[in-house]
Amino acid sequence: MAKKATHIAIYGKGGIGKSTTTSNISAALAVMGYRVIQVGCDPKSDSTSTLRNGDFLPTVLDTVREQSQLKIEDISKVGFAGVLCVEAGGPLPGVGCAGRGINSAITLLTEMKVFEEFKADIVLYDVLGDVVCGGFAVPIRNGLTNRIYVVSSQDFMAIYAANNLFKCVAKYANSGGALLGGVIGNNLYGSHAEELITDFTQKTNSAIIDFVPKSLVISQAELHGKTAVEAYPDSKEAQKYRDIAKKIISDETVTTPNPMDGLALRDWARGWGDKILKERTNAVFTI
Amino acid sequence: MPSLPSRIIAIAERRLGSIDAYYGPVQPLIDGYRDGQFFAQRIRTLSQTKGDEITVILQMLHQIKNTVTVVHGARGCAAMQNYLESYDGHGSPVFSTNLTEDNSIMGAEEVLRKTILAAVERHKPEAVFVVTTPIVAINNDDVQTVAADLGEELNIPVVPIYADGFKSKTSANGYDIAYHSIAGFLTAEKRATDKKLVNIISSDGSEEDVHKIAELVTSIGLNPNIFPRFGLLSAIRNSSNAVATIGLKPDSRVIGEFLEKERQVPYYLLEQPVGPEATSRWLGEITGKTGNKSEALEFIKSREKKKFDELVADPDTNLSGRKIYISGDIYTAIALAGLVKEFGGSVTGLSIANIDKNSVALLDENYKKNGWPFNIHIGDGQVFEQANILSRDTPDVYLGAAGQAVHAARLGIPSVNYAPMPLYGYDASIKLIRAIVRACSNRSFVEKLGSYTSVYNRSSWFGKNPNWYIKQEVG
Amino acid sequence: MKNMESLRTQCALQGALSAANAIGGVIPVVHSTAGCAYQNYLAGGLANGGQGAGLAGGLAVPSTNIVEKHVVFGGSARLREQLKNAVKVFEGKLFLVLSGCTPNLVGDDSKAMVEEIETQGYPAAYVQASGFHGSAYTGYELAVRSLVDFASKKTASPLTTVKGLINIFGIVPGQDTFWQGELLSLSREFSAAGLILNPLFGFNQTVENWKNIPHASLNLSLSTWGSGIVEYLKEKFGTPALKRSFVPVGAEDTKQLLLDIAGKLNFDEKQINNHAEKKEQEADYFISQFAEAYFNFNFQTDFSIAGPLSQAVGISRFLAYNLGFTPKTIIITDAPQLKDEPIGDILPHIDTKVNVFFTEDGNEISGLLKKGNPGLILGSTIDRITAEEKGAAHLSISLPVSDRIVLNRGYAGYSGALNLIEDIGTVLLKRRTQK
Repeated sequence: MAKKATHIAIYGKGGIGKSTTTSNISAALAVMGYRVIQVGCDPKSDSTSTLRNGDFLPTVLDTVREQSQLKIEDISKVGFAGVLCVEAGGPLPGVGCAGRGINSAITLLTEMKVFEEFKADIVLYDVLGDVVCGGFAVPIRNGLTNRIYVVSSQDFMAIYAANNLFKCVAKYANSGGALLGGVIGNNLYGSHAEELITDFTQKTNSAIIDFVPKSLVISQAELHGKTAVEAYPDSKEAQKYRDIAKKIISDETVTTPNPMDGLALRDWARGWGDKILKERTNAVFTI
Repeated sequence: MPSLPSRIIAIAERRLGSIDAYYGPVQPLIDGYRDGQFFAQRIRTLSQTKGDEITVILQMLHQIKNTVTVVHGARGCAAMQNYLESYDGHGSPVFSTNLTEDNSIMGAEEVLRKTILAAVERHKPEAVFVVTTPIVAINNDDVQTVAADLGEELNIPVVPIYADGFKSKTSANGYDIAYHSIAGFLTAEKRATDKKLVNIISSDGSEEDVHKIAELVTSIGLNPNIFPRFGLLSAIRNSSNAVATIGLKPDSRVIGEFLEKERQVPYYLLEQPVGPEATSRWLGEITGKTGNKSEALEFIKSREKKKFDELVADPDTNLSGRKIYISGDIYTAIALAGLVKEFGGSVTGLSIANIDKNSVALLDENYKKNGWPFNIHIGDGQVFEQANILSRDTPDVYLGAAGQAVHAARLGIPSVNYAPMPLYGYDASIKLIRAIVRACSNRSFVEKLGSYTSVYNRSSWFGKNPNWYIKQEVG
Repeated sequence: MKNMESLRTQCALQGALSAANAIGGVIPVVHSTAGCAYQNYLAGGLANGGQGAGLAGGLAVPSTNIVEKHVVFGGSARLREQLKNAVKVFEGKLFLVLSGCTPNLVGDDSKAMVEEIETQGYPAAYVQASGFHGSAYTGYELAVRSLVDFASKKTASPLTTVKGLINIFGIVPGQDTFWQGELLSLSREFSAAGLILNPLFGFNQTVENWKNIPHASLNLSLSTWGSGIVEYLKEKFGTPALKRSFVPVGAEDTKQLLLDIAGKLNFDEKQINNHAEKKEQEADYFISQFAEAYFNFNFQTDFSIAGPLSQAVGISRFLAYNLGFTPKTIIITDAPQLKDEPIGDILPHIDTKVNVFFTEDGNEISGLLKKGNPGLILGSTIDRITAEEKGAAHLSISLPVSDRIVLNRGYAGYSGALNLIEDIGTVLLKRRTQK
């Protein structure tokens, strides 16, 4: 009997840094000695690029074009510290159905027994978190993954996306869907960021995993096509990701989130907006 | 942990290297599957309609007794129930969730739930099948959860069948999808092997043929356990206790292999018992495989052969000098080819719906035996390609399944649709032979048809190779 | 409750396909999954009086048969390739692309592909008729609009009006079992009355007939499914419209329709009256002959009927007003949207309580037909089982029709009524001999 890997999905609004976060976590886990697979579930297909020096990687869905006998090498590349990089792929913007794409890509990976054959300890799915249609919810449903994490900045739009995702998790909670591990604050700046996200998690029965501040080190590593864990292993950022990785792999605590409804979320956001504005205005007056 | 994989079965292309488009010599096709390789995929750049996974599944489920089928999709995905119900009759009820545009956008799990509840309320079935279609495959309705919840609530199996309608180019993949779910939801653990019980898998074909099979099996002292078509759910539950499973066509493979692997019931896919020789071989194989030493067998063989010889003495069953083109699934086509030969005719061409790594062996064997000089066509329907081929091959008779024969007839070729005819057993196929002779001897109707206008641009299309629109798929 | 069991009508794509198959020279190109057109063939071609689907119908329908990769990456390129090749293999005066559920859900730009092939000099048009848009009747409406738009671009100018030329809509190929017969019969009646009917579908009808649409002096709709179309044409070409909810069966209703048309066109009524008189004499002659069997075998009966509104009402009116049969239950299978409309004018002046229902759910229909023990049931072949249970005579008149072959038979007009008398008389006799 093949050992079973832990499957984890990481969601977040587009552009919020979820691929950066996921790749750094993958890298950190791999350095710790785990066998890691990272599956990018975004039609942009760039989730794993910082793990594989931006090398070309055919996507899983490219092979939906009926290549009958597929090998794992055809759709994956071993990247930094042995992380197996896989990109689900998807259509060009404006055509086809990216949601069905995620569904078929994951089906294909399961059919090919990629997780078993690679003897993975952990599989990380990096999923576009604006859950626009049912396809993007596939990693949550049917017990495919053990836990879900959400990456969010203090930006309200990111929080909205997180709240939407919570709705999705709550919907499938009673039918064997994955539950929520917690929220990873990312790309944070300013004095209220941590407080705001913490407040959101408290209001929605979710947990904070950690906070990653906005950092030049991370962006610089990325510009060199690498994760911070690889490029600057001694940095405090790398240490931060190693902490998060440790927590994700060892702490199995999950919650069923209790998302806010539209009005409550608006009022909550307004409350915070007023507060921040007021303090900023006061600050102006004090100059 | 991940329960997703269990609900799906890989498509025939990836699992079996199934091909549905080819025209050319037989040998390269056979070579293409050597050493575990798959013949390179072909695609059509021009195609005509054909059955798909959904149509295959619906014709099968319709004849499983005491069940209802809910087609979760737009109403058109269940349209053929009008045909099934009014021509086949006495089948199981078919429901449609009749999805609208709004449902396609907002999701339709609630509609599905209500429809299943109403279906159960109306008919009190022993099981409900839920067949998924393109709309729900795209909007990702959580059919699995709805089915599981209602199964528990209603205390009957609610069996999701993930047809989707666009997974495979091979419609027979529908059987595999359906049997995958049937195996998981409707079979039972093995209690004890019943040495007389033989599973007969009836995926398609006429009720008459299924009864004939039952009769043959009974004649050698065994008890047939027929399912899924024309059978009860109890037959499926009981299948784990049988001494063997007999498949008549490769469509039985998924359920047969499941029973073999999980319930230790050996599975045998035998040639079809069409005509006296094949039927005798078939009965011999079964007695051998089940360890059943039937003294009756030799007696039956000689008695039936004698009866048959008397029938054949009739000049209306002489096919000598007749060149016959055969179209159908590979098992049926090859069985019919054997029959035609037995009655003195010759085969001028074959068109088969699809081929894969398993069925290629049958083709190989027959090719070696008969040394067919002709090119083989692989295509489900695709009557435009057949029209082109027939314009070159000019057979005396075209034998094809429903819907195809008419298109050969439109070319002025005498044609027989064998689908509604009984084929199995010693003498049932005599009706088919007579029909062939009749078609050759009075050609007035097809001649009239042949002189009527054509839908094809004959001068341009018939001048091209029939494989003009079949291309090898690139990456 | 939503209609859900044994639905009688196909989907919009299939309705549009049936319409396309009923016009000579039109090659439908279905852009959808493989089974869509195939199911239309089984349900609308075979289970509909075995009338088939024409030369470019059945298994001959070009279809892109899209699979998973086209869903994920889009299927426009597949359609482009299909069209490029179809125009070479098929002899067509119009390539009509019908795009189904899947391409619509994934946003394929079928229209652009059609425009592309048009710029290469091939006649092509496009119908977005996804199954989830509604029933086959909706598909008919969608197809007709596309065809009108296509053909009217090619109409010879100037758009002169031909006096007495009438386009007819609302008799739906592939769904109304007797569509061809009704169109032929009405054409004959109209022409005898000095009018010219443009039937648009069926025998001898090609895209050329569609080009004449703007020349008509009247657009006639004989069911709810034509009324949107005639309104559209009124807007587009300013042609007057006449809308009736049913197909006339027999002398009275046929004459009334012709007179209504004459009124609308300021047409001389004399020719219509002359024709009607002759036809009435003929009908009277045969009805008087029918009287012998009628009384020898006690044909007078009550009846229930299930079918599309235009047909169910037309037939019921004839049976009630001419043969002395009493309607018990009328089940309208095609037009749930009319549920709340007043139906008092459907069967006026009948001293009976008719129950009218709107459903196409097979289970509900058989339940309703059983009520009241009618002696005659007119419905689908499936309803024969109900009729046999109740000892009623049964005639298949609406989908699915699988126990009779219907080619050019119809019940409309003067001669159609005689067909109806023969068919009903035959089943009533059969029931008698079976007892």
